[in-house]
Amino acid sequence: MHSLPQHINKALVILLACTLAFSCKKETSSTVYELEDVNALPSSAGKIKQKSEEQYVAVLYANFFQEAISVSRLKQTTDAIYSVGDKQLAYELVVSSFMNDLSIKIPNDSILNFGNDEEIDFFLNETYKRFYVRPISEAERTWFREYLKNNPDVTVELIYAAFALSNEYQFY
Amino acid sequence: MERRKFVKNVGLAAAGSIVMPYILPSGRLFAKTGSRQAKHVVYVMFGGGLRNQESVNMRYLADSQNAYHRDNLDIEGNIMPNLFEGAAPDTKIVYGDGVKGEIVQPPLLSTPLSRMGTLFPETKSFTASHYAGFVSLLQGNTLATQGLRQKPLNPTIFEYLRRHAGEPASKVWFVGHSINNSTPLMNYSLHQDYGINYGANFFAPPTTFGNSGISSFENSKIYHPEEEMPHVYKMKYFLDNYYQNVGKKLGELGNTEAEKYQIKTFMKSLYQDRQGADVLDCAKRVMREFKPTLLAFSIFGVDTCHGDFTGYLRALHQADRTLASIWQEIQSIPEMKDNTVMIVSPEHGRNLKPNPIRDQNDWYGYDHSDANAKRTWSLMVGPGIPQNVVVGSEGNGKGTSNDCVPTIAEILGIKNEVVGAGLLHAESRSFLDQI
Repeated sequence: MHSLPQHINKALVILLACTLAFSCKKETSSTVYELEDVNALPSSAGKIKQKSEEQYVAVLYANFFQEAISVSRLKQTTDAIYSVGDKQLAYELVVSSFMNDLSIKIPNDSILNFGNDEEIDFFLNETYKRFYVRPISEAERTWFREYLKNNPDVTVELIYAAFALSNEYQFY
Repeated sequence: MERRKFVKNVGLAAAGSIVMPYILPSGRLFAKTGSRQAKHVVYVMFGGGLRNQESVNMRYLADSQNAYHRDNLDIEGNIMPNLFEGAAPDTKIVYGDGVKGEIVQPPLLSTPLSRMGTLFPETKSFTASHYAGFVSLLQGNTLATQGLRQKPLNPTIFEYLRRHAGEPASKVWFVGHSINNSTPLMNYSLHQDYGINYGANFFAPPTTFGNSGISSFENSKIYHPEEEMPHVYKMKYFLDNYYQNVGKKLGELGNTEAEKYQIKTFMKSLYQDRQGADVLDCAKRVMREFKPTLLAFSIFGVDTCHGDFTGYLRALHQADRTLASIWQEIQSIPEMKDNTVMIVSPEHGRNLKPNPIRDQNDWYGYDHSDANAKRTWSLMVGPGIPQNVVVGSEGNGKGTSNDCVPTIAEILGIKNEVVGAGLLHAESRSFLDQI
């Protein structure tokens, strides 16, 4: 049987190898579905360091009064907290004491329009940003919507107190 | 519901918790095992360091100044007549009132406490440090690894009582002399099986009810316990549960909502009256309001002895009146009268030899670092405590400062649990077992 010249054989083998190497290649270009990336964990997951008493009071004061606390007031407040064994109780006293200060800057209760989901959502979004520096999750939104609808006597002050006293607000 | 009615309900709930089985924070359900010798214990931690020589041994200036002074100061006498039995010094009187301390008031008690109870006149402390001494008095052990700015490593008597007897938080109190000297750290330990959930309520009256407390807490609102505060707590609990899934959970002392309301109302009343900034006054008011199962409080005035021996003598005499006043207060509260044991124990003593610092009378001060600084005494009085009994003597010591914890545990019916926990000092034994 007549065979092809050897150099043609080599050329065919190289051609076949190249064909195999560059064919059936997996497409690498990413498909864009025009959806935003979503983190698997909520943004509160990164808060693992507990605030010191000084940090807590300074942050709380700035939050409520939109200005920095004076050094002397910070010292007196943290000393007072040190002097009470139940820290949660001490924080409750500090929060309600700030609430009783006429210069506090918190929204009026008229912002709580219990019949309007959009307005409630707006209030909740702003509250979560103000205290937790993160967006509200859908689970949280659902719970608060229901709670506020069922308890129209709840005030902005009580909601803010709950946030200020919550564990998440103690961490950063 | 009216606030007064609410407070009444709080009281009924607290009373009910004494007769009912307990559901602990751990979720365990059990009933108490031991019987109680008394319903209440008032535990006075006599801090600052006091020498046996000037207190229980009643040797006034004889052992402290006579050898170092050209005048004859070989003067003995009892300057703590409410605690100990003995004649007062007859000369060089400086420990009373007046500019020179020459005016001495008669004793408040007709019978000294040591005669009404049992005195251990020569006990041993394992430390000559204030904080370690206080911690030993509270945990029944003296650990070499205990840091100065660190919470107690082993459980305190507060935690034993709350965990093993199921005491509500508002029935266990520690009134400290200051927020300095790590005092606020002592209301619970770092021990993994005990800790914050079993801790004591704590006030440092000079701060809590002094300028800092007034400026920080006086203006606080007390939200209505049934119309406002439940909303705050419900929203907070939701937020905490949500955060717990991804973050951390803060430990809490375990005051119930009703207990918190009672404590806040109590504090508010003291702010309104401008009262409570004094440790003695605060301790008395805590007794009246909460009828605590265990109230520990610390006094500290005698530490002036480093540089003011005269001031030290005055502080000893004043402390004697303080203790008598506390005993009288106990007897004036119907729920505590004849049902309260009072235990007094210094945290440590002071040196045998003076330092070079002299006061206005040219008398030398004393530090606390040698073997003499580990000499102390203990006294207990109340129902079930043998009267007019002295156990041990100078040169024949009995007991240690670590023995106070098992003693309190025995009086309050949890001795087996406390001893069984295996965290007391190896030599620690109830004083009642040493009589």
